[in-house]
Amino acid sequence: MPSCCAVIGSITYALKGQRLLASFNIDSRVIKVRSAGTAGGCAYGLEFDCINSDTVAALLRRGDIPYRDIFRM
Amino acid sequence: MIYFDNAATTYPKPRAVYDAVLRAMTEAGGNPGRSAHRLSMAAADIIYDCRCELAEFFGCSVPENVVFTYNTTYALNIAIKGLVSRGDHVLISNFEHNSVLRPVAALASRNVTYSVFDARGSTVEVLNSIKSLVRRNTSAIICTHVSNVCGLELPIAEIGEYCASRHIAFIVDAAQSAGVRPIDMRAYNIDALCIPGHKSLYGITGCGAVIFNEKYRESYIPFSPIIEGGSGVDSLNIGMPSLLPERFEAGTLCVPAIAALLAGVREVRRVGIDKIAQHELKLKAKLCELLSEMPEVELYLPSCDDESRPGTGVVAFNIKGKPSSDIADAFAKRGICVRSGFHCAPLAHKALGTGPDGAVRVSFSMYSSENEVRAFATALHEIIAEG
Repeated sequence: MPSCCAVIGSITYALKGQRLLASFNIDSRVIKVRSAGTAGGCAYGLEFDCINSDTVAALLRRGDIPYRDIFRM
Repeated sequence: MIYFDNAATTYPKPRAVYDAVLRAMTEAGGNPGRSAHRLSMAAADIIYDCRCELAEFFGCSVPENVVFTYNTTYALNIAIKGLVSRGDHVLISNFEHNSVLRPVAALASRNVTYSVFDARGSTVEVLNSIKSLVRRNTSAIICTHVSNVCGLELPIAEIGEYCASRHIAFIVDAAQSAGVRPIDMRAYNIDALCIPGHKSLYGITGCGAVIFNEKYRESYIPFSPIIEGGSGVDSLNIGMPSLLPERFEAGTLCVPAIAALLAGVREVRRVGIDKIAQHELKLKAKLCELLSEMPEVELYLPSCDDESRPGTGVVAFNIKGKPSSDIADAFAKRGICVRSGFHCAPLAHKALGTGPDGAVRVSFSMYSSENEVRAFATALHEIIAEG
């Protein structure tokens, strides 16, 4: 399965997002996003199965977890 | 040894706290929020767990509003210097620690003025004192929840309600109350709650927190941090991140201290805050009973005449005619740890009318015992007899 990444930013929100997704049985992994892919430099993101992209986006929005982008890795 | 200096820092700590510190150092030795390798993530998980635990414990629904600091003083400085603007007027109580008084006084350079309300007496009297001093430009009330000198508890629920009705920010110094008195930020309308890790939450020194009310979660906090530096995020930007908590957490956090705090809070919740408070107040009552039988002893016990504000297990006293430092030395020679002097709280000592050398402070923890109180009283008899 291809992996997708939600670019979040801070480690705090990345962990909050990871736990939120886990509560909906969606596995994810906190990763450091390539700096070249982020405007401000260092950022954390969540790697997850792309099949869950729409659900992940909706859950992050609902959970007030700011994310900048979701891209296929 | 008898340790009665728990208002300075509790000792001993729960076994779980020592274990947590060791585990953090051996199993989570990476730098949190800087990498994504196993040791860095293990450290980050501890920190996030602690944010969640503290947020839940103090009635804040958003763990990211828990900002870790070195101690309560740093937390108060962040809150006070952030929430108070140039030209504002603020209120503080006459029982403040220097961690409130000094930052407020330093704001004179920004044309900030302050007034001091009287925290003694009934809740109505305290509120009347506040209302008589509020001005059109009063932007914040900053006060301790419980005095570090005598254990007097302020009516923070009522003060918070008044602040909310007047759109005045409410900053609470919970250095002495966090872990031993109930605090609900939402119910008490607290804008910023400043706590230590190492006192009645039973962590170790090196960590405290300012918890911002959940109303500050909308996009960003509009005021500036007092310290800038690395945050592990947005490294190419010259400014600090706009989001909590990283906006106020420049530099590497003290992971072992935060792990200790996490274990400490869990232990307090396991034992029960009410049970701990009742235990300490029972010891306070016993000590006051024993001291009141000694005519040479002067007790400083302000009454609030309000059962909902029982205060904490702290007692201040002097032996008439004897400097408090001499009394504390005499106790130290007997293996009893107490604190003398002014306890960094000159306003409180003035309000209590203690001596020119301050007072002796006895402070309990959940590990203090009645046998220790009796041994303390026996030692005090000896010290009095020595002259």
